[in-house]
Amino acid sequence: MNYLSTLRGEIIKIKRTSLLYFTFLAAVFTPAIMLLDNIDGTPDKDFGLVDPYKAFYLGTFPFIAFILLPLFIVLITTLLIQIEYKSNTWKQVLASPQYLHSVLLSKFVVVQGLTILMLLIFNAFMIGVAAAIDYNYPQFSILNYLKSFDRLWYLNARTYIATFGMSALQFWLALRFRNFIAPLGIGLVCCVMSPILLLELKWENVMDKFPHALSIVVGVKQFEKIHVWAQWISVMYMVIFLVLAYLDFNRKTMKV
Amino acid sequence: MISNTTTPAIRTIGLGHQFSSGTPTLHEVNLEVPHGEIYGFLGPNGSGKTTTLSLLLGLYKLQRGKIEIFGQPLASKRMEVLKKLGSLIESPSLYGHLTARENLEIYRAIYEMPRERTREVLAIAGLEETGSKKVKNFSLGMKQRLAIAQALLPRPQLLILDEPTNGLDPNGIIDLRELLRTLNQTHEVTILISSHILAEVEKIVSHVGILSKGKMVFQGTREQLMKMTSAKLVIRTSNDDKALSLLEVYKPEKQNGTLSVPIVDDYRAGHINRLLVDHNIQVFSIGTQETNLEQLFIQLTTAS
Repeated sequence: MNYLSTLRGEIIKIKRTSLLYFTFLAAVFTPAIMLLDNIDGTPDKDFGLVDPYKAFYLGTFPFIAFILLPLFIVLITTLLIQIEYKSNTWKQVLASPQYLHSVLLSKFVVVQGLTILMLLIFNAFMIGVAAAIDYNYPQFSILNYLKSFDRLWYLNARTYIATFGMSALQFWLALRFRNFIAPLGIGLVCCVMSPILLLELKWENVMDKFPHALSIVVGVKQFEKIHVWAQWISVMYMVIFLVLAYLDFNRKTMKV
Repeated sequence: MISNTTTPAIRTIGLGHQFSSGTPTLHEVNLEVPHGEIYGFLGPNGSGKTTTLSLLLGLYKLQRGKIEIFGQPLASKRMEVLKKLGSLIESPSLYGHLTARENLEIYRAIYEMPRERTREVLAIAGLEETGSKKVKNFSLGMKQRLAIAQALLPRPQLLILDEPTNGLDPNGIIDLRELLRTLNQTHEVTILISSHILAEVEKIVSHVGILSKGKMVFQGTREQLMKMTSAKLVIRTSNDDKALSLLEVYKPEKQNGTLSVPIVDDYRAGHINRLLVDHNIQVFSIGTQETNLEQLFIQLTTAS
């Protein structure tokens, strides 16, 4: 009961914040580009050459998994924790009958909820875009990409799981720094560096030492053998960073 | 109001605290807030009031001493204790992007209060008409009232209020006093209210604790404090030691080359003067010195 009450409180706190707008914008950004790109009379040249899932969905998803989703998580994690710092409400939160681990876990669950919501809205809009393309160019049967639902579902699920580690790391950083610039800056640098180090510089050490790189690892076919392993690494990072976040915040709570 | 139980609502034993800078903030603070009373916790800025209150709420780790609330040790029963109390520490802790109702809803479920309680405390704070207005658009006084409503949300048995009159206009201060008096008398809520201004709280408190530089320099009932404010007859004589023994019955005190005795009326002054002169003691000066609460507060807090 206590945990659910805490979670309910955390959900109320995000009402009317920019978090929900960012979630929506991050979700519709790629589908909107897809729509504009394919409705103006020049559909993607790959349509019809390969199966609709690969041509329509798999061609788009890397942008989400490699760039947009990590950046989105950096942003919402920082903004969510900033609600307490900006409102100067930590003292009141900690003086209420709630356990610190419940408060922190509830906040992390809200971050995860927003991430899932972002992926759901993205997929819903992708269906809409596919339907629009299908309507204009029925010869490509783009909407048939949904027949590969199991592949689509698995890609989304493993990408999401691969963000656990970076999500928890950003969560810890956001709690640690009262100023939002630091966690945001560190997160942005990590998000930009990850694809460069992994894909351009072929620095494979990045795979397990850089939580921000894991969502790329699980999205690239050349790393197919370690997709499952990368997800476990992500879960392990999540546990480590959440424990660190708790211990660190518990230690510094008294100065909040 | 007479306490209905002998267990103090708050008791601290040898409370001490120091921050990482190394300077001790609190030394051996033995606070005792009787059950069912309004306790004024006074002290100048920087005296350690907020640190003490933060320790009472478990916001700081207990370094030295013990804290008991309703007879329960805070260290091991923190959750049970926190469910029974409402608090306001320093400035109002509110979410500016939410409405007054939403701010209260965050905590309503945590305190396991029914839905109607939100409406009740909004009415108590006079904020039931604020509707969809966001808290960031409230005046400071409205924010302070909402913070008090938040503190009242759990139907607390104990209210801990740190400088609750900050930002309130004179009418707001009077309303707050009335509210606290009603809560205390009608609902038997024990109230610990801190302030650096004695005049703000002296009208409603039954007990007073005065903190200065981290030390308790006075603790007792308001009446005990008032007794210390009575006027004194201050006398300078040619032979203080002889005068002291002559005036023994009046319980004289010798300080800084002057004698002082509590004054009851002008006749006592006349009698003392005559007594000293009759015993060949020259009286260089004799006069009354008034000490009001404000002066006493300043004396107590600067003497330490």
